Amino acid sequence: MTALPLTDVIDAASALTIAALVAAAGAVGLRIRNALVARRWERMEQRWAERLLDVLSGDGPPPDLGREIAPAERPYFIEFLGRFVRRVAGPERERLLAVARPLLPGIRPRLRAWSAARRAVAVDTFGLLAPPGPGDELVAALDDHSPFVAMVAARALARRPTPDHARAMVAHLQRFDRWRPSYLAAILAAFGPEIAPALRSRLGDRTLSPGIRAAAADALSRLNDPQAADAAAATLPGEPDPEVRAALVRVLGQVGRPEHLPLVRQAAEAPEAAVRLAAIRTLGAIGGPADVERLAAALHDPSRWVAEHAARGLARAGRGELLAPVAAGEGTAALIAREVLAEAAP
Amino acid sequence: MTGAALLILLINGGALLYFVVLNAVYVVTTLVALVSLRRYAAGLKAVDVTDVLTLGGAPPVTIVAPAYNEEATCVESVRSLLTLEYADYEVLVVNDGSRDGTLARLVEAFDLVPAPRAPTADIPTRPVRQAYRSRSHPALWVLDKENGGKADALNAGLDHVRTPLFCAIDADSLLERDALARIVRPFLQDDTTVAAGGIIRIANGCTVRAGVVTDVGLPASFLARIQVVEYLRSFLGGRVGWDGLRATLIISGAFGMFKRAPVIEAGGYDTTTVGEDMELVVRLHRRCRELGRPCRITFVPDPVAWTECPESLRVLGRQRERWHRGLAEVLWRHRRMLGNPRYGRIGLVAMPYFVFLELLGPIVELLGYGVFVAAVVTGRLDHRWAVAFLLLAFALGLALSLAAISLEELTFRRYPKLRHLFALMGVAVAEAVGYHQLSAWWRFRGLLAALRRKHGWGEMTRKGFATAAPR
Repeated sequence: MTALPLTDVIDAASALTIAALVAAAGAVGLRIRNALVARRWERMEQRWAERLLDVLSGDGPPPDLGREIAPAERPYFIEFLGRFVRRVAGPERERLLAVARPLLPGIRPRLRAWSAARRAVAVDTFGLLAPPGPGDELVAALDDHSPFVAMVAARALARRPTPDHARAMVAHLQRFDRWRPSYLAAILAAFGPEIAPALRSRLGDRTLSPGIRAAAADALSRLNDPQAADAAAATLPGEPDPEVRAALVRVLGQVGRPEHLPLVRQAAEAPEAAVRLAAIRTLGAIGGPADVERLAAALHDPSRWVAEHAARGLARAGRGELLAPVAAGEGTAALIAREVLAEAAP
Repeated sequence: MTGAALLILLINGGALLYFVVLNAVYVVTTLVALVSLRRYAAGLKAVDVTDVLTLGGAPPVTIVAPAYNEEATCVESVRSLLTLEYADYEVLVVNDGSRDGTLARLVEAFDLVPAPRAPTADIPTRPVRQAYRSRSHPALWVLDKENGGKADALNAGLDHVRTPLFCAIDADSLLERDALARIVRPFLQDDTTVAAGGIIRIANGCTVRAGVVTDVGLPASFLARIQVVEYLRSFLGGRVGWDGLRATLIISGAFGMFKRAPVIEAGGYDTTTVGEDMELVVRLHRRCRELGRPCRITFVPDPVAWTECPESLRVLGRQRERWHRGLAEVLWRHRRMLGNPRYGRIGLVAMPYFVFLELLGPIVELLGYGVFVAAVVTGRLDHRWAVAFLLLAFALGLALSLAAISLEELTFRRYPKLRHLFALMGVAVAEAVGYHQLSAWWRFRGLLAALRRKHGWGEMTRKGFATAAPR
């Protein structure tokens, strides 16, 4: 150990002490900078808030305010404006967007920033403040090599849905292969009914992953798209993937017609628990008296989730008397029956 | 050279090597954390966290909170859990046979009544005596079970989880209102995510109103302040850094979110170790690799759980001893992963780090101190050299602590007053002298306890949160 020259150890200790002092000075410097920025923000916001409220109430001339902002203050103003835009809709929102219009050229270069986070912020800002149009920057951002930027772009597009945006989103579905299907379904549904035809056409597209097709089906369920029932019924019989089949059954449960019930009943006999669960849940919600026996049998399904939804379906159908003997027994089915009966009790 | 001199030289050399490698790893993880945190904080500006609440699509979550003798804080904690901003969630408190008034306080505060609740899995646990549901808050359930330890209580909760995700927390944790909305994001953006951990911050010294931390402050106790710096270093420097290296091996038992199905498939929490939180994460990594399933385990730095930390040396020592014992048990159980390329960077980077630097660190450190002193006293080590080396160690520890404080300043800035910043810096200076050595001793005792195979919840004396006077 003493083989290490003393001077080297002293040099290292000195260097580290300097590093520690730099870190300390950095923290203090950051704190002072942050305090100054916060104070500056506060002053600017006070100045802007009043003008913006005039704009919102229709008293001020919207386009001028954006131009009056000094170039150095524009990034702050855009962020400030964004917060307001998120909270309002209708004509008020239009007035705010008019204020933002002269500032948009300043954001555009940031869409090509080196940092993915900066690009994402620019995409989000653009989504909030720019008027929708064909071939706009947000659609291009769906192809960004960063999944995070693509995600922000998808969300931004869903906030201002147009038929073009909906088509662009569906064309990029493969991009969102890793998302949780329920989240993708929610984003797709946020595009509104405009997206439904394109989604219906992709239900049977086996070039897409099962997760994406399941999300497309669930989005159609969320949209209550009546035409989705026929598309789902046409796809269901030949569909090999259980995740997609379950989602198609959910579509039938949501928007199906009585003629679709045989398909659902068939799905209730599927070997995969996920498909049986979707079918029993559907039968419990919209099935008729003919399905009571099937639901009662499903109380003893090997999957406790199927059994639970069968019990809930029976309770909903007012057939609690079928649950009582099961509840008096032992095992999981009995516990489920007791729980459902207790919840159904007035 | 005599045998004794050679031994001293070898030990000193080993300690020096350990010192250099350990601190090199700390420096690397801190630098990675710096890059990751900057990127993360910048990206947050593009994300509306509450979006998942308005949009839908966020899966339902069950919060599982095991409680043992938590009468001082349980009502406040549960109240905080019931006010979270999340679309669909349930709170499941598992009373693990508390000997104090935990259950009675919960029954009274939340109007609990017995209610049947069917299990959803069958991980073996000590018997559940009764399930209760709140009449005033239908999303609140309490399972009262026989005492079986924390992991057993978590498993009992897990056996009753009905949602695709569950969030395991300590019953004394206070989650920030948007904590669930923030921690769920990795699960939405990447369906291969099986677990995510959030940051733990120290609630001592903060003002808590209706279960919510309303004013962030520093604890009056010096020992608690040291832990504030420790936690910043551990979470913002360590966990973020390891996550940046895609090798997250620890998710704190005080706040982590998991996919239910893979945890059930893996058999739930291991009841034979006191490090059940880390053990689960390591086992999930291991199973995913062995089954060839893609799986992501990550750390998210902005969802916050506040927790009360020990303010006495005795309790803190026991806690650290238990943590190290848990670490030893987990690493021993999964020793097969060590250096095994089959387990990717977990086996090749994270496991060796935890075994050689974290687990065995206290032995090397204490031996190093002893021999160092002996060498100085016997004149085998130049006094000037010894002083220079101690200064080097001190400066390095200080630099790392100050870097963690700077990371906090750069990103989340939870301690609002300038005096907080100076106080934390002062603590960072003092921590390197005395506390660090004490911590090595506690961890050494933990290692010995692991060899003797001691088990138990470990006792934590709770004061209760500093509640603001009603306005």
